[in-house]
Amino acid sequence: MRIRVHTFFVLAVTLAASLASAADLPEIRIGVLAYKGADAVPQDWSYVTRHLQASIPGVRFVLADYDQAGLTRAVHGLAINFAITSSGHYVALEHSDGASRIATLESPWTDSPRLGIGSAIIVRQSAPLHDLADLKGKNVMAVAPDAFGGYQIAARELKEAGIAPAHDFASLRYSGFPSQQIIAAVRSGSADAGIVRTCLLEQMVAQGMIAAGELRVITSRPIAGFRCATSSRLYPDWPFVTLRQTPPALAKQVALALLAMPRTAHGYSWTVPSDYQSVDELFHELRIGPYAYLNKLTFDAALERYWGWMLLLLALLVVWAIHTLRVEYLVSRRTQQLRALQEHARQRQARQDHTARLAILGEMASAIAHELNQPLAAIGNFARGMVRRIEAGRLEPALLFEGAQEIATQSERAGAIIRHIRAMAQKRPTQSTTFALSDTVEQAVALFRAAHPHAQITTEMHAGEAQVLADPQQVQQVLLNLLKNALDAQTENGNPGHPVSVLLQRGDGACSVTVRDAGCGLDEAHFACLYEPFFTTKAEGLGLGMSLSKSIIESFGGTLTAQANDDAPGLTVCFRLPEATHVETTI
Amino acid sequence: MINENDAVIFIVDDDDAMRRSLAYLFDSAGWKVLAFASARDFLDSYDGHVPGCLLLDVRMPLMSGLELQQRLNSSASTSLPIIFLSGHGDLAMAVQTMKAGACDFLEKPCKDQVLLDAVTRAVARSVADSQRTRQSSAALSALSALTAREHEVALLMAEGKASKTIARELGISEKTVQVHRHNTMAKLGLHSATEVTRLLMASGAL
Repeated sequence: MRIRVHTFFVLAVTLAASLASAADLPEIRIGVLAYKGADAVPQDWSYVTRHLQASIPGVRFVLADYDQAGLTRAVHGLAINFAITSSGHYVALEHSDGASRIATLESPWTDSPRLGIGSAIIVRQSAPLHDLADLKGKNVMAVAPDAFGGYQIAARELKEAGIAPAHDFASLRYSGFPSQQIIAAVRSGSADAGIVRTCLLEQMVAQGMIAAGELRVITSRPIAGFRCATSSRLYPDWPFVTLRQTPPALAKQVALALLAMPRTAHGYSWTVPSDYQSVDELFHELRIGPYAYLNKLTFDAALERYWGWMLLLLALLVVWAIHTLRVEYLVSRRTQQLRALQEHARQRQARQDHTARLAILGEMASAIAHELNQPLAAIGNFARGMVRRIEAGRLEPALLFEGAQEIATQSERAGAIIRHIRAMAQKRPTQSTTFALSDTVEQAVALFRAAHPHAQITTEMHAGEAQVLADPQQVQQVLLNLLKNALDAQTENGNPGHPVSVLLQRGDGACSVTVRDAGCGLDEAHFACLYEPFFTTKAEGLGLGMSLSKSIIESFGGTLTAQANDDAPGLTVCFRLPEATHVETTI
Repeated sequence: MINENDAVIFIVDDDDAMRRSLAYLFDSAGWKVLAFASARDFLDSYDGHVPGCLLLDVRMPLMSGLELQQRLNSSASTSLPIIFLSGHGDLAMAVQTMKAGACDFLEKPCKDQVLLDAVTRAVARSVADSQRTRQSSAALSALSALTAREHEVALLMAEGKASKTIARELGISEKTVQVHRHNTMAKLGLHSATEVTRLLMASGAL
């Protein structure tokens, strides 16, 4: 902080008071915004303290110079009692610290203190800059972002002209105090244009610091009663400000003294406080000072400042949304596809099962019809033979009896096969009932023997009356299929007469039926495909028997396994069905 | 002389009922019947000289009808006609058996008359074959009694040539031809050139 108590004033004050008493008097500090630098403060403002000192006894008035931030801190820190500052800074302090004006400066540059200050945008006389729009792409220098005349007033005009300093200027530099640096920068050409408070240029010309006509103010507008060139509209001149902690009595004394102060030699005096509403409007429009929060909060401002990022963010959001939607869509589509596939597979399985049943039935029926052919042909032969004997008059009773006996036998054989076909072909849904597995095994073996008279089948029943819950017809079908496979394998192997062993056992809550043959067996490659539909090693087979058998047994909660005999050639196939007492009541 | 009464119907079928019924039928029709349960049994007992016919089931375990046919074809001494019986009506198989010389291919069950007609045809062929075979061997043994010159003379006689022509062709006298001719007739027990011609044809020399 740059605080300098000017002993010069103190010494001046002591001319009117004794040295001892002057040192004892309470100090009244007046903070001053040193916009032209600390050195200019005594020169510009000492008449104020001199007059107050003369008017108000018992206290000692002291000037303290600050930059704007320093002055604000001084107000916060209660380091001063009064302040002389720019109109803009005053309005900010009014909002933040409850400061109030007790007088407004009357300067010799204007006839109305209400129109006392503005911004001047200065350029070199020769520069081709005439309009605010000409400033685009130029290097511009201002005092500070919070300097009233040195930036803010001009900023309002620029904004209204559609120029955004941050974007449109090639550069915007801030000089800080003293403002004269800006004049120097423009003169030297290091800046194309400078923003300063009005009348600074005129003051410097009057003091002979620069030549008149070397610099000019652009967009200067003539305002009646105002004797400086201005690039902007005008605002009230500087106020004399009293602060919250300052005793009202003292403030009243000071106010009265200021109003009573005669005009100085340079033409300065104080008048009744002016209306600073226009300053407030400026802040509101620029959204700075007390209205800075507007700037922070508004979407428009954010959009203006961060539109690139927001666009990117928006794009990312859109991409993310699209991605999410796409994923959702894909998931739902895949799910649908999967469902359709599952449904399709289920239907295909059902169709295949149906086809398999029909096929196995057809295969069976074809085999049985072939078997039926034999007794029918035999009956025909015997009957015709008997007819011929009778026609020829050869009526040996023994031979005719033999023929008739054979006809009866063969018709019974045919009848058994027909019954078998009917049992197999009955179209009916799966019916799970509880039944003794041993009965079904016996029936299946009997049926198989009827259809294949040469086949040798040995049975061993070790399951007593153990009950299973399944469809006896289907279980019978499975066993017939296994027996047929066993017989075929043995025929293939050249030993159809070898006994096929059927073993019924009970254990671990299940009944198992094992069919063991001495057939050609299966090599490893065939083993892997054993349960695949339409896999077959038989020239005339459809390859559905094993896959269907397995699915039938599994549909009743059982298992079907096959393994090569380890001690002899051939295959052992075993299916297990849980005992009825171990099955849940609903299947 | 061989006739159809000597013919035997051989039946090979693994199905007992079928085999018995066929035997019964042919027996009723007056044929001699021999029935076998397998191709192997038949081969073991058949000597290859009995005329007749073979009724053969196509599908049998161990040795099928087709295999038996091939076996019989490969032993040249027999020419037993084969009638195939099939329960399957397999056209490809029928073609195969017929190509291999089968006499007939019938589908089970078939009418007894069809079966008996087929058997009659086959037996007639077999008997004719047997007779031809037997005549041929008799003629050959008779001809073996002739000398080389007599054989030459007999061949020329069979062509219907006169003794004078034969004498000129062989470069011998007509008288010598007369002697050979007389001796040949005497050795063969024949009385005319026509009979000599028939004998030579039966022997296969013509």
